[in-house]
Formats: sequence, structure tokens, C-alpha cells
Amino acid sequence: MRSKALLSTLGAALLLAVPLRALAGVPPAELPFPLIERFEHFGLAQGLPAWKVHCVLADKGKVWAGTTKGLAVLEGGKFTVIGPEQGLSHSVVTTLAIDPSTGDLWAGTLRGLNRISAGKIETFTQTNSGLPNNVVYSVAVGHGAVWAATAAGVGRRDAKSGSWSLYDATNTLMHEPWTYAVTLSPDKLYVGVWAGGIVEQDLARGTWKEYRDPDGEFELDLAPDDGPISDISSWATWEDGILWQASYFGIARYDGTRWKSYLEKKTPLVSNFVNFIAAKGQVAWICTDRGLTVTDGTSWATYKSLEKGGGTLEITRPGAKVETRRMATAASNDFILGASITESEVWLATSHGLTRAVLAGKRGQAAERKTNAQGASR
Amino acid sequence: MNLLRKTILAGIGVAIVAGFSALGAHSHMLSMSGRKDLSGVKNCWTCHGQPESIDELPWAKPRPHHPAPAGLAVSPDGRRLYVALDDVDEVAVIDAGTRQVVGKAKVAGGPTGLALDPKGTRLFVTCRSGDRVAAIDTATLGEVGSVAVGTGPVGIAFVAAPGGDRLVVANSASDDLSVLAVSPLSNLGHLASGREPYAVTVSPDGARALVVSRMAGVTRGDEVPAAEITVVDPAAIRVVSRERMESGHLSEGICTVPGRPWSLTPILKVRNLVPITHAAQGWVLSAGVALTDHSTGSVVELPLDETNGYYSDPSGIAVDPSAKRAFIASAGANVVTVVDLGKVAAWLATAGEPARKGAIDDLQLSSEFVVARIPTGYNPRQVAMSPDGRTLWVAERLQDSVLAIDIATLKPLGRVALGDGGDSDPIRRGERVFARATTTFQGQFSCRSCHPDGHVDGLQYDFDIDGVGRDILDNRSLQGLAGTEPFKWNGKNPSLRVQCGPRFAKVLTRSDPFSEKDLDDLDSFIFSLPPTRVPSGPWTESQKRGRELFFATQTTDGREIPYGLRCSTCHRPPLFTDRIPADVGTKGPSDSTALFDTPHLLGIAASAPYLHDGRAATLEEIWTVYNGKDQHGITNYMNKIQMNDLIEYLKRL
Amino acid sequence: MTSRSVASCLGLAVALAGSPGCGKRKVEPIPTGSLVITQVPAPAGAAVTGSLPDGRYPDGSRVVLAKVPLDPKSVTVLSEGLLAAGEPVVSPDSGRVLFSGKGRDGRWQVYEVTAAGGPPRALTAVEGGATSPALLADGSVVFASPVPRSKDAGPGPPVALWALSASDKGPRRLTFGTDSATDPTVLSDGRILFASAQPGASPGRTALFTIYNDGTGVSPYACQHDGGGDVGRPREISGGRVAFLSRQEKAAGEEGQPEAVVAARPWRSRALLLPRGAGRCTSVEPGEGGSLLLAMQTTGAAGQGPRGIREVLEGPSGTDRLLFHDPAWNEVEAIRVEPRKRPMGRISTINPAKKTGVVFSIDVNHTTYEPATPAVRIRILTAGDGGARPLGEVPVHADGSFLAEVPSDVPLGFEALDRDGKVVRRLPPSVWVRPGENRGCIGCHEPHGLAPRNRRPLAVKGPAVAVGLAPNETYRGSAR
Repeated sequence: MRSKALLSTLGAALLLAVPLRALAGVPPAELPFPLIERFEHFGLAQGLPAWKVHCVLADKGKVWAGTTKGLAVLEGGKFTVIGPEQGLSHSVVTTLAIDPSTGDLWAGTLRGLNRISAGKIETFTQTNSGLPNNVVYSVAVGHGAVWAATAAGVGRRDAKSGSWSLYDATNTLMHEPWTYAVTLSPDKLYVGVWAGGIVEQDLARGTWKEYRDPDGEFELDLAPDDGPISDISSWATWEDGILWQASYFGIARYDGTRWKSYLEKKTPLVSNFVNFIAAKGQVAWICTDRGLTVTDGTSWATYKSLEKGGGTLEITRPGAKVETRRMATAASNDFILGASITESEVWLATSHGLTRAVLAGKRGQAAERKTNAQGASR
Repeated sequence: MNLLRKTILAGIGVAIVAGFSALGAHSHMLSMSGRKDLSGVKNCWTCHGQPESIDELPWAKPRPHHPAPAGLAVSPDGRRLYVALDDVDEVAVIDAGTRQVVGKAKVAGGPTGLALDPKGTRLFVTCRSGDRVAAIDTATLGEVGSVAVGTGPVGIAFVAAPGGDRLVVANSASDDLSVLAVSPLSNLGHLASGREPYAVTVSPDGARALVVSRMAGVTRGDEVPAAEITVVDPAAIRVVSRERMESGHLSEGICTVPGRPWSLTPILKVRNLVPITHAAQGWVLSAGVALTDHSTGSVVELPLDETNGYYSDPSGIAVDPSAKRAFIASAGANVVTVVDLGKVAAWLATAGEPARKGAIDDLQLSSEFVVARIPTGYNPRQVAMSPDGRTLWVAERLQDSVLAIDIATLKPLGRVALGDGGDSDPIRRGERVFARATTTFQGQFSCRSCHPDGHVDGLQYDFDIDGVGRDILDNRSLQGLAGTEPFKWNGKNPSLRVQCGPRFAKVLTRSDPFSEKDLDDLDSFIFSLPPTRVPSGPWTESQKRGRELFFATQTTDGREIPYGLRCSTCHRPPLFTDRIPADVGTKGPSDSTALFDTPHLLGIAASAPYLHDGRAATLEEIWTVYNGKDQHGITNYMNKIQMNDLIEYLKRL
Repeated sequence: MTSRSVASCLGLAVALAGSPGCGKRKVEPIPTGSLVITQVPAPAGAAVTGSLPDGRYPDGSRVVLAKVPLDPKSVTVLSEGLLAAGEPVVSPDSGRVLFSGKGRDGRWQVYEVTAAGGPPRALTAVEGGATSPALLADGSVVFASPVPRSKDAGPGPPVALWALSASDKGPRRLTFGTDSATDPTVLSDGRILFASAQPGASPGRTALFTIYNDGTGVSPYACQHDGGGDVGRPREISGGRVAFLSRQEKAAGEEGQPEAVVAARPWRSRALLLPRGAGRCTSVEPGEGGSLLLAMQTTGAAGQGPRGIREVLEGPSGTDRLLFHDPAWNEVEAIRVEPRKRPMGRISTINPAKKTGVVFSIDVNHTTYEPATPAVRIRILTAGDGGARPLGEVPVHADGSFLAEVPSDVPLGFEALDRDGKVVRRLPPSVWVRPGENRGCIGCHEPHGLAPRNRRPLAVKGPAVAVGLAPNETYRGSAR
């Protein structure tokens, strides 16, 4: 008799446990990406040569930050600067890429492309090589070559022979010469063309294909998910089967078959004005003029700074209410131009400083549980 | 009509015909050369004496091949010496005890560099013209593996690394290094090196491979040249650091020193920025050895030459296992120079920074640590130390033999003859003249010192004969020279005999001129040099388009290109020169003339920098920077793709 | 022209050309191992004043040839017919012997005897006399003229070195310093090594210098700053060395201490060849098999005893043997005859159409002077009556370089001036350039034995600054 009562009490308790659990703030479904725990700033006081950072690349304990006054290298807590005095072709560094097979760093500038290898700088310009144009916006390394997106088309330098091939409106489907991004998949080259959408080359066959915004409207997305969000590609990056396109009018995602667009009005994307996207796995870290949005297309997290200090984090889970959190720290500036993702942090290039965003990871989830438990006990 | 009148009339007739003929010839030469004046056009032979086809040229004809020793490797048990014979596609095996050839392996593609695995069971061979590394089973002398690497592989080293054995290969013509896995023999990656990487060695712990590049990087104007030592982590396939040897270049060997964090590489210390008013005082160049302390990264260049005597073109280097002495083949002086490393260390211990910086220029310093000069045969190049440190093997390249030197007594033990020495071959004799420094003032330099392999050193020089500081000239390649006379930067020397004759002795070697016999042989040798090898295989679309542009008679928008400004007029096949000096708008403030000898273009891609004073760092710059007025061909109409196509075509020549 | 003078002119020409004779018969060279010896009458006569050779080789001195077995009783007198002779030199092919000889007219000239024998023939006929022959690679003769004066004769015109070849109309002057250049010898690299006053040092202090075969390239060779004293009679010997005789300033007589420098490091290797007091030496020459051939006093109390020819093999198990001595004579010089490698030749870089040369320094502030006060101008001097007189000044560029066009074939000196015009370093007029010679220097009294740093001097990017000529004089040179 007593065991029956005990059992039923237990049963009732169990039944109640679910809603109790809910009341007690059980951790919601895990996000498919880590959250940022805190932001650390690097500016002139720390040795950064200029406030405006165009691009950043974190690689094996070094952080390379391309600024308007040279390439800053953070290693062991200290910055060294590689600028024209050290042999860099120009002080404004626009883009960075590492050659995984050699560890060499390729740095694009407003006056040519540099290969930095164990301290030696070799410069390629439009006058001394087949680089199409000195204004280099993006560089990608792979498939035995280096590609540079320039103001007058794409240049490809063969790693073995050193020979250049040039691609522009005269010999590809590109309609405009300004190329803002090059990115590689295992079998394709994607070029983000300013006012030309996305152009794709099949690397094996050499054939080209073009993706344009079908509605031809810069600012409106008349027919969603019909192609690139806009012809004005400000960036493109391919990662883990997904091509992400950034534009000043939203972003688009292409999985090889289907396109999907995302606009600020229709999604938690913090701003349509997107400078850069870095991707890891299926997740995009989207750098805009008004903050950082992280998403896999379904779950979203947006980081913004507040004027009075610190910032906010807005988490959107599918089918759940938007969760807003106050953060003690925020990015150096919300105008974010570049990002580089490592296992434990994300580096952000902003228009006013370099930011290190420390990722929460499992520690972060434990903290979350703790908070919920506290909430439940109240 | 009487006979006298007839004769007079006939004479007048002949004179009129001759006069018209002369006029006709004159206008013919003007129109066919595309020039407005005939300066440089000597006579009909200038154009009509050109070879019709390359097949007529000496370098296209068969020539004797010699078993000239290149790379050496001693087996771990010291009993066998392997010698690469690149000119006959063989590797010879020598019994170290009897000094007899006991076997030969056939290796196609110009076997040049050798490396053995630690057990001595596998010999890895770089094949310079085959662009591959071959693996030879030392028991059977059969080829058991092959892998393609970069272009022109020369140096190779075996790295026994815990993560997996590696081979590091220096690809001299593609300016990169190949890192290979050993079994199976395969490419793991390639890394950028300096210009013309040549020799490789491994640190004693196997953690680092060191590669020295023979040429300095492209240097122009007042830039100070520097060659590179590339330090590589073969396990991670990464370049760890790059050390620079200021004004030091033409290294053909590198070795580490047991028990010290040092690497040593012989260099020529060049003084190309100083006007050549004389040769004494090491004024043109001097030989040295660059000592890199890898624990600090500092490079000290030490002199090997003396105040009143030089031992030019230092090549291979080896250190005995007890690290007491280094042995350097002084290829131009036919000696092996012996350096006491203990004395070097003692000097370094007391030398401050100014003394270290100035060491290479202090010609009295070398006798503090150079303890012997051991005479050898012609052109000692690569050297190898037996594992027991008792024998030094020296490849006497230009007499087809290997010399064994007893380390204890520093005296020769004996010589292994691989061939007959080639004395009866004028090309071989000419190469000896070319490599010989002893006929220059105090033996300071040989032809090879500035023209390794008959090619360029990539530097510019100021000969004082035309005025100090005037007419600064880029070094030109001698490869593929046959049929392209006249010579000299202004085209004033009609033949090699004049070019290399008494005036050369007056202006440069500051010594006796070559004898007639030596000039004959030198002629044979230089003209036997084929143009620098270019990539083969099917023509790419870009190269084909480039060819169209090269031979174009119209611009893209249909404008006629005047005959005298078409590429193919002055650079006409098959040698791509019309042999007439031309004004291409490149006269600089220190130049005495605007007319420069039109260079031939075969192999042109390998001889950067360009134009008479080397101002153009790359082929592109000739037209993107230095042809603003379309005086060097009409090219400003080309867009970037067309310019790139033209360059791709030129790289194919 | 009489047939006799024709014959002697022909003979002269033939002698100068070094060929054995008009006929085609091959003349055997002098056998290897022979000695060519200068014998001076013993006991020494009264000291002769006036000229140096008269003092060293009083009347009766002779040059003789002693063939193996070197029997003093069986010598051939090469200087037969001459009042005195000395300073022999043998050609590398052992075919010619040249020496200074005093003719019956009392004048010293250079004479030659070939292996074919016969009386000595005068090669020179120079007003003022000619002594101290040396042989260049092409067989030309180098000699000193006028005849050097002895110390007690007081100063006279400086002795210069001259060269005379078969194709020359007359002797060509090689040296143009203010001090005498004497004791020439030809090195295996073809340069002429000679002794001259060390510029700026106390009188009587000499050192060794070199020039090329046309008088270009005057440079220090050894003894500039070490050891002191008066050095002379340099000769290449074994072991990569150059031997010479040195005399401290107040030493009496003509003997010297044999010393040597190592050619590999001439300014760091000066050392005695024999211990001090080993004897008084008047010549050092290469002997057989790397030994030294010395003309010196035989064993006996210091200062006493006759001279003889000794062969000394150095080293711990060295030997010292008397090779030759005739008690009736003092042997003061000896040369061992053996075939030797011909010195390196050289084609002259002189441009006779010019009256100037060009001089530059890479960095005038590269100096041994302390402090190394930076110089901003260089004053170029020549020798005038009563001392140095300025020719003009040239600016020094930011990197320390200068480039000047200077008169050729005159003594030149340099003064480095600081900002205030003060002289901070000075070379008295003691060097020169030949017509059309381009001469580069590393610094301004930089340490000896250096090679230059690899930098293009700023000064050579512009025209050379001309000094020494009147304003309206134009130069033959390239226009800029």
C-alpha cells in the first residue's frame, strides 16, 4: 500500500517534472554553432598600425590583420607590421589567404598581390606579371594555383609554372570587369562579380556558367530564392557544399542546386549591407555594416554593440521566441569587414580595430544551465 | 666606234649599273630591315648570313659526350662511391678501396645529384633534363622508382625523419623545392626557394633541410644582390626561414657541421655595383664561405681568397666527421681549399659585429684559417667525405675523373679514371678554358664566375672602359649564342674571337689574352651551348595567341604596324634576332648610345632581368613599363590578356 | 748609315726582342743550377761617394756565370769589358742575363748577355744612366733612372722607373711620384714591385709598392706601417712570400737584414727570414727546391769575414751550406738559373690621346684615422716648387664618395677637408694616374688589404669633377 502510494507519487512527480523542467528553464535545443562569450579589442595602443582593418586571417597561432597601414601580425601577444618599408607592395591590405600546402600567405593590396613566405615578400603587379590589375580584392589558393579577384578580372597563377591566365568579360561570361571575390570548391571556381552576380568555372572542363539575379532589381527581391540575391556581389565564399553570396542588398545561399535568399526584413539578418562572409561547416558568419550575424539558415545569432558600452546578442531558434541577452563586451565596431574562424575564437576585422571574439563552447552551455537553474529556483 | 671609245662607254655603263646596284642594295637593306638608317647593317651578310634553320647551328649538331662527374655519394659503410655522370646518362659505382669502377647504372635524363638512404640500399638520383627523381636499387643497380619533380632538379638530400623519411630536391630551373615521400616515392609538396636552388643538406637531427640557391634574386639598378639559404621543415613541408647572403651568390654546395649549429656554403662575393677599374683588391669578386649560425640566424661571410691570390668558383663543400676541417673545391683554381674550423671558431669568439660584417672584404683574414690548398685536376666541383673521415673524394669534372685525397696527410691517394678526359675534344678543351681562373689577374675569376653553365648571374656591371658610371650593362646569356653575331652590348664585336680576344683581356681579365688555340677551343665550347631549355608539350591556346601577336602586322583594331616595329622584324626566326643593333627607346641618362645589340630570344624566359641595363625585372615590364612610346614594337594597343599571351609565347621560345 | 751602325742597331733590336740571333740555330739556355753572381773586389776599397751603384759596385766589380759544379776557379765573366757591374737578373727561359753595367765613359746603363754568349750589349742609352733591370712578361726591360745617389751625396732628382721594349722608340716612364722609386722586380702576377719612400713618414723610411707594367695602379704592397727602416731589393721567394732587405735608419754600410712578408697577408706577416745578427746580407733570391739563396757574410765574428753565396733551407731540420765563394772576391748577389713560369702579362689601359685620368673613392670616411672626422670636400694637390700646391677641390657626396678628373703623369696628393675646411687626413703628392687611367679607391687611408663593399658610389652617377686645368680647357671625355 505504501509502495503504491510511493509509486503514484513518483509517477505524479514525473508527470509534473516535465512542465517543472520547463518552468525551471531546461536548456533549449543546442545551437548548431558556438556563441561568443566575450570580445577583446586590439587597437593602436596594442600596436595595430591603423584602426581600419580590411581583412583578418588566423592561422596556427598567428593572426594576420590587413589594415590601411600595412599587414599586422599578432604572435605571442605582440604585433609586428609588414608594410612598404619591409617590401609589401602597398600599405592598404585588402585580402588574405593561406596556401595550405606550403604555409605561404598571399596578401592582396591596392597595388598588387604579395606572397609572404617565411618572411620573404614576392610582389606580383599588373606591370611585372600577368596579374590583371593592381587592385586586388580577393585571393584564393587551391588546385595548384592562386586566384586573384581584381578590379579588371580574375588572374590565375599556376603554382608549378608561374604562368598566368586571365579571365574577364572578353573571355568568360562575366559582364563586368570588377571582381570582388574568388572562392574554390573541390571542382569549381566561383567569382563574385560586382554587378555581375556569380560566375562559376568548372575547373576540369574549363567551361563557365553565370548566376544572375533574375529579377534584375538591386534593391528588391521580387522573386525570392530564384538565384543570387543581387548582381552586386560584395563577397562570396564556398564551404562544405555551400556557396554563400554577400551583397549590399542581402545574402544568398546556393547548395549546388537551389538558391535561398535572406534579407534583413524577412530574417534575423542584422543588415542587408554585407561586407564579408566566413563559413565553417554549414554555418555562415556574416559581417555587415551594423553587426555580426551567425546562421546556418535556420538558427540565428546576431551581435550588435550598444552606444553606452557592451552589446546585445539575439538568438533565434526555429519555432522559438527570440532570446535577447545583454553582453558585457562587443566588437570594436559594428562595421565588420572580415572574419576568420578558428576552433576557439573568431577574429573580426572592423573599421575601428581588430576584435577577438572568444567562443563559449561547452563551458558556455554549462553557464547557460546554471543561469536557467537559478531562474527556476526563483 | 674605236676600241677606246667602246671601252670608255662600257666602263661608264658598268659604273652606272654598279651605282644603281649600290643604290638598289642600299634601299633594299633599308626596306627589309625596317630601319631608317643602316647603322649596324654591315653588308649583305648581316642578314643573308643568318642560318636558315637551327639545324645548321653547332649546338644542334651531335657532339661528343663525356663521363664528366657531377654528384657524389659515399655508401654508409664507406666501401662504395657513387658518381653521377649526367652527360652519358649513367651512375658509376666505384670500389673505394681499389678505386676501380665496379658497376654502372643506366639512368635516363641527365643524372646529376645523388642521395643514399641510411642503409645504403637505395640511391636517389636527380635527373636534371628529365625533371625527375629516380630510385636505384644499389644491389642490382636497376631503377626501381621514378617521380616527376620540378624543372631541372640538381641537389637532393635524404631526410630520416621520425614522421617518415623524406627527400628534399632543389629544382634549379623552376625556383622551387620538391618534398618527396620515400616509399612509395611520391610528391608531397613543393615550396618556393630562392633563384636557382642548387644544393641541399640536412641538419644532423634531421629536423631541417637547408637549400642554397645559386643565383641572387632579380637585382636591378643600385640594388644589392643577395642569394638565399632556405631552411625547410621536411616533415611539416614548410619553409621555416630564409637567410640572405648579401652580395654572395653562385653557391653550389652546402653542408652542416657536426656538433655546431652551423651550415657552410661557399660563395662568390660579388662587387658588381663598383665600377670595374681594376681587378686587384678583390675589386670584381672574391671567393668566400658563408657561415650561418642557425641558433642565432646570423650569417657571417668569411674570405677564402688572399690579398694577392684568388681561388675562384668555390663549389662543393664537405666537413670531416670530427668537424675539424672543411674542404671546399675551388673549381676555377683546380685546388681543394682546406679550412680549419677550430680556428674559425676561435676567430668568431673574439670578433665583434664590425669585424664579422667586414670579414669577407678582409683579404688578409683567410690565411688565419685556410691551412692548405691541395692541387687537383681540372675543375673540381662536387666533393664527398667518406663516413670514417679518412678520404675526401673530389669530382674532377673536366677531366672525367674522381680524385681521392687522404685527409690525414692532405695528399692525393689516387685517381679513378671514368673516361679518357676528353683532351681530343675541342668543346671539352674550350670548357676548360671557360672554367679556368688562373689566366685572370691573380686568378680572381673565370668566365664561369659570371656565366655559370654559360648562362647569366642576373647582375649588371659597370666596365670602366667606356667611362666610370657609364653604360651599366646587364649580364647576357651565352647559351644559344651561335649564329647571333655580332656580340657585345652595342654589337661592335663581329665574332667571339674579337669578343674574347685582347680587348677582353684589357678590359676585364687584366692579364694576358687567350692564346689562339685557347680562343679556337673557347669558340667551340661557347657555340656548343644550346639555348636554355624551355617547357615542351602541346602549345596552349594562350601561347598560340601569343605567337599570332608576335607575328602580327596589324593591331587589333586594324591599324597597320609599320614593318620596322613588328616584333618579328628585329626578332626574326629562327634565332629571333636580325643581328642589327636597334634603338628601342631605352637610352638612359648614363648610356652613351641608344643603339643596343638585338638579343636572340631563344631561352629568353630564364635570363631575367631584361633590356640592356637590366631595368625590366620581368618580360612584362619591357612593355608595361618601358615601352610607353611604342618604340620597342607597337604594343600599347594590347590589353592585358594579349600582353599575357605574348609573354606566354616568349616563354616558349 | 754605316754597315757597322746598322749592325749594332740590328743587334740592339734583336737583343731587345730577346731572340737569340739573326740565324735560326737554337741556342741552349743557360743550364739549370748555374749561378749568376756579382763579385766585388775583396778587400773592400775606399768608400766611393756619389752614386749608389758606384758605392755598391766599385770599379772592378763584375757579373759572372758559374755553372755546376760551381767551381770558383771556373767562371765566365759576363760583364767583360765593363768597368763595373751588378744587379743581375735572369729571364724566365734562362736565355738572357741583364745587369747594370758601368761603361768606359763612367756611366751606368743596362746591359744584356744572352745564353749564346759574347760581349755585353747596352740596352739603354739614357742620359742620367740606368740601373736595376727587371724583366716584364713580354721581355721588356724595367729599369731605374737616373742613377740613384748615395746617402752622403745629398738629394737629387727623384729616380723613376722606366720600361723599354723592342717596339718602343724610347723608354717609357712608369712612375711619377716625388720620391725615388727604386729596386724594381717583376712579380709572377705581372706587377712591378719596387721600393719608395713611405708618404708622410720620416726621411729614409721606405716601403714596398706595386704598379702595373704601364705605370698604372700605384698601390701599397707591404711595410707601410710595420717594422720601420729602409727596405729594398724585394724578390719573390718560395712559400708565397716576398723577401727584402731592411736597414734600420742609422745602419752603416749597404747590408741589410733579410725579411719577408707572406703575399697572402702582406701587412700582417712581416718577419725576419734569419735571426738578427746572423750575418750581413746583400741579396735574397729563391734557391733550389724552395730554399733561400743568400749573399751574405760567412761564419765569423759579426762584422768580419768574407761574403759568400749560401743556400739556406728553413725549418727545424733546416740546412745552411756555402754554395760558392772565391776568396779573392766578395760575392754580393747571386741568382740561381732555372726555368721559371713567365710572369702574367697585361695589355696597357693607357689612352695616350688623353692628358687626364679619373679617380674616385667609394667612401672617404672609411679610414684608419681616429677620429674618423667626416670629410665634405677633397682637395687635390700636386707637387710644386717649395711643396705641395692645390689643383682644386671636389665635393664629397652623402655616401662619402667623390669622382674627380685629374691631370695624368704628375704627382698627386689628397687632403680630406671637414666642414670647417680643416684638413683631417692627408696623402702628400706621391701617387699618380696615367693618361686615361680610371682609378678606384676604397676609402681615404682605409685599412690595407681590403676589398670594396658592394655599393654603387653616388659620385659615379654624375660627371667627374675636373681639377687642375684652366677654366676654358675642355676635356676629351664622354658628354653627360
